[in-house]
Amino acid sequence: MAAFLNDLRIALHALIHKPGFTCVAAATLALGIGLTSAMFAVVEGVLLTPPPYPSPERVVCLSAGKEDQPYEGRCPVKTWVAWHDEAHCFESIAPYWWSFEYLIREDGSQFIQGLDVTTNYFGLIGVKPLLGQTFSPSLGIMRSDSIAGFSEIILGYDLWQKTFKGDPHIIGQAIHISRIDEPLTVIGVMPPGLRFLPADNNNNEPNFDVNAPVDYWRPVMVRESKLKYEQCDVIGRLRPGVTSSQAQAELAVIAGRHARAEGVSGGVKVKTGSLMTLLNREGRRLLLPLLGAVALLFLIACGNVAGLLLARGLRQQREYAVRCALGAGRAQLFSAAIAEPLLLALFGGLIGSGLAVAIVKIIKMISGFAIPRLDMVTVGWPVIGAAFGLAFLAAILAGALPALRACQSDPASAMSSGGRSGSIGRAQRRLLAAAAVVQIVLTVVLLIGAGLLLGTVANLARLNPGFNTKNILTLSVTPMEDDFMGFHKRALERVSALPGVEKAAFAWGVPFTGNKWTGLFTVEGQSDDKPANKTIVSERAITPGYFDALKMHLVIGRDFRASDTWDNWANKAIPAPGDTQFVGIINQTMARQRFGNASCIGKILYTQFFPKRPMKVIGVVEDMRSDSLAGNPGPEAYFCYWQVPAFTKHLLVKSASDPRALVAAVQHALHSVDPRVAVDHVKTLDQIRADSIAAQVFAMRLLAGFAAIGAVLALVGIYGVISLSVNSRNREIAIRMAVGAQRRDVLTLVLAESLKLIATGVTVGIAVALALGRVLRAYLFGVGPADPLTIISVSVLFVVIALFACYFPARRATRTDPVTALRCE
Amino acid sequence: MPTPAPLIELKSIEKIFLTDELETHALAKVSFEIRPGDYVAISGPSGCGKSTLLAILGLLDSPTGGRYELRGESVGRLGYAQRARVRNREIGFIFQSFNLIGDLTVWENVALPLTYRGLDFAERHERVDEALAKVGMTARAKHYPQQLSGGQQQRVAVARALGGRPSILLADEPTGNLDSKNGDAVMGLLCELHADGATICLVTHDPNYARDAQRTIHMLDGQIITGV
Repeated sequence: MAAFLNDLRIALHALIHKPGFTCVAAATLALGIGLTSAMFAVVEGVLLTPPPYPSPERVVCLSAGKEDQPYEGRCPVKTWVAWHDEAHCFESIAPYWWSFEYLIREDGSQFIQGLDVTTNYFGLIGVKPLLGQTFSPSLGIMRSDSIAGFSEIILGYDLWQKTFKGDPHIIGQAIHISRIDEPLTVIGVMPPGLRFLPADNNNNEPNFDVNAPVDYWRPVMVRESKLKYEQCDVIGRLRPGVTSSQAQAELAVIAGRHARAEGVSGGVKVKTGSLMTLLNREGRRLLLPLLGAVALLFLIACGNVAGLLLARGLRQQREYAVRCALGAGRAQLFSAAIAEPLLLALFGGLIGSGLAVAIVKIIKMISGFAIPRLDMVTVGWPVIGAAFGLAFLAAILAGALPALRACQSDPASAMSSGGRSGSIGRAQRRLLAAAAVVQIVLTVVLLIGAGLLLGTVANLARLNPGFNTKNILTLSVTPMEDDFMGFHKRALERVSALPGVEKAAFAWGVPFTGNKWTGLFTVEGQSDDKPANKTIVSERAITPGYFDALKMHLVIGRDFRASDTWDNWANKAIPAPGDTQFVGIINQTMARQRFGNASCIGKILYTQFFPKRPMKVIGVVEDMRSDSLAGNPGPEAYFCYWQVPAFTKHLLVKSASDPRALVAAVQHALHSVDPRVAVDHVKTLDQIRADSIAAQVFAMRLLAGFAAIGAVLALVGIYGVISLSVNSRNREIAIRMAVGAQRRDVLTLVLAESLKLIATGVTVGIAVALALGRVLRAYLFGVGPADPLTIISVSVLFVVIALFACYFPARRATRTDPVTALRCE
Repeated sequence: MPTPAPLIELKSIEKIFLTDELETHALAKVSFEIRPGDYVAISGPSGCGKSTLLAILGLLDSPTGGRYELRGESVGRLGYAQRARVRNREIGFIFQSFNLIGDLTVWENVALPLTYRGLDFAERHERVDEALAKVGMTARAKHYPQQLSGGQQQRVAVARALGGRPSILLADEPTGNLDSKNGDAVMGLLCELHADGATICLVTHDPNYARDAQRTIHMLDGQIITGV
């Protein structure tokens, strides 16, 4: 140990006296370690941190559906009841429903989202309240018609902190929320970190955010009369020792038995899925490729440092030979040789930890909406530990080879020619060249990935979605006053009258928000079995003026009018003689699918909404990419908002200039109509469009950054290898000059060697990039994973820059003094 | 029979090395001639300026002063590219440590100067084969230098020097890295070449080998003492 400490002391002394080498090597390692640790921090925070439940691995999501129907990830309440009563694999099984409400406040109501749960839910997740209590089991969980106890509410930690300022006396206080007349009593506050459970069927809701902290929990009673129809999301806690597949088999048997007993045709599909896996689907899709990319960068950095250390180690052969001649054993030689890499790793780890903190901040800044639960990400001890772990891994990777070479020192040969000249032979040059080729391969992979994403983002940025996104402000608006339709009409009047406002319209289903209804349509006189009638249609509700604001053109027919409303709201589902006509506008795709080339104006459709009320087609609007920029337009139908209103919807305000300047005035106008109105999610349509491609932009930015750093490291590596090669071939070059080589011959010789190295790396890099292309496929738009333009342009660019890096050692080679040829080795 | 014009003529050649504030006179007023077909040996103790003189003779270095004429043309002040061209065509080097390039085969090593001269493949082939045959190394054409003995490597080096059909062969201690048997063989080869008409300038500190030459120039402290 004392000898090793002495080696460390000597290595420290040597590194201090080689500041250039030390700085480059430590900085390279720090960069690799910093980036890798930062990505590890993100992955650890987002993917590896389980929900704060005891034994979270035993919590699974359950779903069931008919074999012959689309699988939606939910389950009929009746099936849950059967599982709850009969399954033995679970300690508990509980249904839950995502819901949203507004906390009613006189100065503007506040959006809140929560879970409606049965009373066994908290026992299942195993989390105790921070304050107060959870719902009493005495309420029962089903088959009760009593509503006693259902006026209680439990608050989430964040809502309690932000809205109620962490009031320690909140328990027992009454709060008012939308759509419930009676005040609710706060009976508990849950600890921080409780987020939503997967509830995919709510993705279409305007404010659904599965990654947000839960604001509230309300007890729900499952009524016997509704068991047959309602769907729910379900979680269960496995008994210790029971596997997910065992549980799935048991649930399938139970569900199948009940289906047969009820005469349900077809089989029943049952699925159990790990909670962690389901929560991390999106994050994993984005983060794992990026973690892979950063791992490549780490290897490039290690390769670079290995090259530096190897070159240095080779120059130290004489020193090792002397040690060997003085009686040092292999272990002592290894210790002496590994001391420097270890110290460099220590420096790299220290600087890399600091870098990781900065990089995590940058990632949080640039990620936008790309990564869920990014607020969970911190650089704590696990990350610092990972940084130092990586540092020592880097030391082993980068330092082992030079150290092993030192062990094999031959005192006789090393002290003669090789040791004296300090140059390296062909085998060593090949070794270094191989290290450089590996770096080039990895860099080309990163560069091609970044190039493809750059092309994707560029394609998406210049894509015309079919509607205008400029100068449009959107706000989520929910009135609390009783005159629901009156509010919307007055609000439109007030907002439209504001200076600078060109158009204003309400819409349920603003593009790129995921917000829409979906359903089936049938055409009067056509069979339901017609394939087009089985196509799901996206449904949106808009007020007149929406198409104008978005500059969407009607191909034929007319826009909605203020008069397109109901005379009889109480009976809107069933038509009565003399009722106002239910009208709708469809897009070109739907018109083509349902009516071919025939005119569709005046044709009658039936919706799932109001299957008994005929909807008359009054217009056809141009197609637009409303779900996502990358997706093709599908069939869409628009209802008039005055006939099909929605509780929460967006207000769109088209302005002449920057719409953000209008936010305060619009909010004021809305509050002047209803002081308690909830106004939130204020964004421009451009922002919404940008958010919709956040994942691609984030991946592009990060990969471009990685690729740029990788390219710089690889260029430094190539430069180092060629420099070393030139130095060690000094004599050969002098001989060539002595026998008549011109400077251009020497330049060509070195550049040809460089080109061979670079071309090999680029060729293998392209092959690897093609093989890995499928990893990025989901993020690409307008370019394929094997896009020749990207691959060729990236490769040519890299070759040119790399050759430029090699030009300097090549030029130095041309200045070799041919007299060197006369000197004996 | 008229005396042929000098192939090489050195007049008051000086070479001064400047290092920091130190001025080293490696060659001082060196003058002599080499005529076609001469076999000249340059000898002297270590550090006497033999190698510096050879570097200037071989156009590897330029003199600080004096005049150097090759075939009657002044070559002492040529530019880098011109010197390389003249070196390639007029001078054949034989080095003490053979100086074969390890990454090239014997054939490629011999062909190297011809490649730089821009000869086409057929002519290169003819000349390389001829040179290798002359030194008895045809059978080893595809070998790499490290597969050969020291003596064989030096024969290849001689072949490389001959391949360009130079005006003069400059041999710098060609036996320095060889045992006596191989050294004798190489010196015998040089004698044969001289007998065939080659002009040779040999740098050696071995008086036995110097005696093979027609003329020996003795140097000391950068000056010629005898033998001009």
